[in-house]
Amino acid sequence: MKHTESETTVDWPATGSAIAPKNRTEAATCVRQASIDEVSIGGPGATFGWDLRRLDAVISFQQPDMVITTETGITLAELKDMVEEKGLWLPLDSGSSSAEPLAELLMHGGGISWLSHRHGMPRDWVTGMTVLDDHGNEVVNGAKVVKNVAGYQLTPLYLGSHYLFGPILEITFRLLPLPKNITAVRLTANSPAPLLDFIDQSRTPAGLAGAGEPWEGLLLSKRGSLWELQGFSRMSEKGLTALLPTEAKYESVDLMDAQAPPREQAPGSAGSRLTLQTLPSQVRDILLSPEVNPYSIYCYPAAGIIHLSWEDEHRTSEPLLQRLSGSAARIISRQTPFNAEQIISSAFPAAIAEKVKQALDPRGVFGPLVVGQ
Amino acid sequence: MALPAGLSRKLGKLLGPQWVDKDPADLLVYQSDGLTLHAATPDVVVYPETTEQCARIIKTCASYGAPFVARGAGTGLSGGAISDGGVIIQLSRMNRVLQIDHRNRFAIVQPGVVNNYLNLQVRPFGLEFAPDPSSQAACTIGGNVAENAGGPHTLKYGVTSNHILGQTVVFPDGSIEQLGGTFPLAAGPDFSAFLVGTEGTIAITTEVIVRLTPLAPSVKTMLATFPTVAGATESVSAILSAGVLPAALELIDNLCIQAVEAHLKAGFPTEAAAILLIELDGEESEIANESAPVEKACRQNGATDFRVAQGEDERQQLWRGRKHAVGSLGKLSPAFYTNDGVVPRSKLTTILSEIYRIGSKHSLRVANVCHAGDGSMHPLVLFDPTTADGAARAMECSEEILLACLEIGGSITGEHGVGVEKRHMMNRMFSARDLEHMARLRTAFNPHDLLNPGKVLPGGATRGEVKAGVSIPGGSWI
Ligand SMILES: Cc1cc2nc3c(=O)[nH]c(=O)nc-3n(C[C@H](O)[C@H](O)[C@H](O)COP(=O)(O)OP(=O)(O)OC[C@H]3O[C@@H](n4cnc5c(N)ncnc54)[C@H](O)[C@@H]3O)c2cc1C
Repeated sequence: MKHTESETTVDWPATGSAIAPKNRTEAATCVRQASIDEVSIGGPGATFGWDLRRLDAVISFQQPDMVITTETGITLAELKDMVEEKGLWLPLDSGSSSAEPLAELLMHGGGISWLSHRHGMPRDWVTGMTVLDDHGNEVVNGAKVVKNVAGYQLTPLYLGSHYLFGPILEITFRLLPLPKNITAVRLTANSPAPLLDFIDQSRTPAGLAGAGEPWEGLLLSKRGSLWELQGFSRMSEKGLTALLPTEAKYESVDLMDAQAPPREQAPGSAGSRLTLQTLPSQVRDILLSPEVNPYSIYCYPAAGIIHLSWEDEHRTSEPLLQRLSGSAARIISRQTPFNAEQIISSAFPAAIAEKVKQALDPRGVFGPLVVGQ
Repeated sequence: MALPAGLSRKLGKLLGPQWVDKDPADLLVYQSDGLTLHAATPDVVVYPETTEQCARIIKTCASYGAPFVARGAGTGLSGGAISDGGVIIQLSRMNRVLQIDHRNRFAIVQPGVVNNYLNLQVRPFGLEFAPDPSSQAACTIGGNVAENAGGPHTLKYGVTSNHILGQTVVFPDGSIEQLGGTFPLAAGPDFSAFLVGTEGTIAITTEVIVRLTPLAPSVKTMLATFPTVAGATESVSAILSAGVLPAALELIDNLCIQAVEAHLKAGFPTEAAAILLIELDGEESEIANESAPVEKACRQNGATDFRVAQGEDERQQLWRGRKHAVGSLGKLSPAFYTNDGVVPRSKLTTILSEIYRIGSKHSLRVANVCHAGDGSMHPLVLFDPTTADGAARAMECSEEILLACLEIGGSITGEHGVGVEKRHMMNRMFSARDLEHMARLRTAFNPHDLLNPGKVLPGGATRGEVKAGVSIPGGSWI
């Protein structure tokens, strides 16, 4: 960035590279200059991307208020470390992308994790944000308190938008007390059936009183021929043990007390990857079908999310897709989580996406609208 | 504004004349919502039964340039469901639960389904719709969605936006769109989630897919009595700092306690400056682990009594006291005015003493019920509606309280929405630029401002101005 007496100009890097502002003023200047120079920054198909890693300030964090406001250059792992140190918890996980800045995670629709069936998505925890509008102005939305219904909450439009409407510079999350007295569980088996039985048994309400949702975190994975359930619960070890079907065959059963919630350790996405979304009740059928056998599986059964991966480049997913056609499953991402072609999910039909884009970025400063399935 | 000639006849053709009401006596019912200080009379009320009928009504209104407003149960407390002239689309005939999928924990309902009714339907499956506004015996799911309603249990379970998976909506041009779906999660931008809390100014919801939450296996409800309000507010922070997340953490101050006890005898201690109603839920071992730190936090902050509800009857009695706290104020005053400011949790002590100070400055009594765990308050300003300036003074006092909330980093509304009531305060909370950003979206979807005009955003919308301070017979909650 060059400063002269009267104005600041931006030396644009090579097309396709990311703009990495060192502060918010610089980010704003880039947006203003972009509209003058008729280049775009942000969304898929834009001239440049954003790299907000240098915007990493903690704006406010008062432990008793149970909210934290930070810039979006810090990583989710850093943010979680910070709040957990003060006895608080942000029940979001990012699995394999924990080293990404928050901006990337939020903008690319990340944050689906083993906690999601219980704690939802990032949008469920955001109470406010500051974004850059298409004129390079900072715009505040929401509030820095736990509850607020003043005005429209724009967060659900920005999260997962791939910067199409502009970058989020600052974000406020509400927090929970860090759970203590939890039980961590690890079970392995040669087939998914006994693990799915255990999940069903623990989650299906028994009678009128209901069973609550015992699982804070829950995932099922398959490497080679071994299936593994990992989870953690506020239930006692005794309570969970009582739910284990006794006749089932496990390779190993490991239940232990823990003082803090473990974090998800998702495998990296080497090779090809396909993510399916379905109803939780369909997960069993899909996992037990022979068509998924060849794949490595990583699944959030209670949220209906199944990641399939394979390293054999000749493998085709055709038989699986055929098996799924007509079922209640849909592919939500290929290769990388929530890639550009898939961003406009069914919650965001194309005609609506166009209207929102037209409203928030009519000149395309944040890149063209990419709609596709 | 007079209804364009021919419009009501056209609406009658669409719906059948019995579902189009122009009788001035009937229209009185629609003159206000739960906040009777703001009033406006529609020209006509229509009662559709299907999404398609809603779409046709809207198209017809739009073709005549007539404003239209969706209405659920009319329990809103910010004047959102009123219309100065034009058409009220009353959704009470769209009151069916269409599907309950207990395995996948969702239900599909029409917008006129009453919150409590839905819960009655899903409880046999061990599930509930978690948002529990105190008005849940009357308010509708459509109204909950439009207002992003919360309640005592949102501390642990979140507000309405956390429990909506999808919606069918009709936009102001009459187009119908299905948003979201039955899958538990939606990545990507989520327009259905955006619509939650837009107070019926962007689209009308005609079907809702709600997330259902498993009922907790055990519940324990406790009542802590404090000789000072500060003791109660400090306990709130202490409980949460001890790592406990109660399902509910409600504060009721002395004036409210007096009202409740005079009205329905919930067993609240009338000598207390404040009480905390604390509910823990979960597995029994979890509750057992959490009870001791809760009691300790209260005792350390001066609780003189700490009582555990013995059995479901006593628990229900305590909750009846809390849920009827607002209504009970009718025992103390012919009229009262409630708002719903929010502050950072650590500022509860500060704001409550500020509220009492502001009340005495205006020579008005202010009673308080707070969702204390959320930092969300309901200061209830008692006033005499028979005096010339009674209502105006109450409104002034209430506004000063909301400004005090803003001053310490809070919000002007945590539950009731902006409606017409707080529209003029939006620019105290947001800059012109922030508001313009919101307005851009409104204009994109509601370009002629025919859908619920004059609500939420200040200025601009000239239609549907309502008359503040008109004289209306006092209701139980003004
Ligand atoms: C005694 C009492 C206690 C209350 N307690 C609480 C509480 O604890 N928490 C809380 O959050 N609120 C509370 N409220 C406020 C109110 O009950 C809620 O805002 C409720 O969600 C309104 O629902 P309703 O069906 O009555 O909506 P209405 O009052 O009919 O409408 C409210 C708004 O929603 C819009 N709307 C209604 N239906 C639709 C639709 N289908 N599509 C689009 N827009 C629509 C209307 O246009 C209007 O702007 C309370 C009110 C009272 C009177």
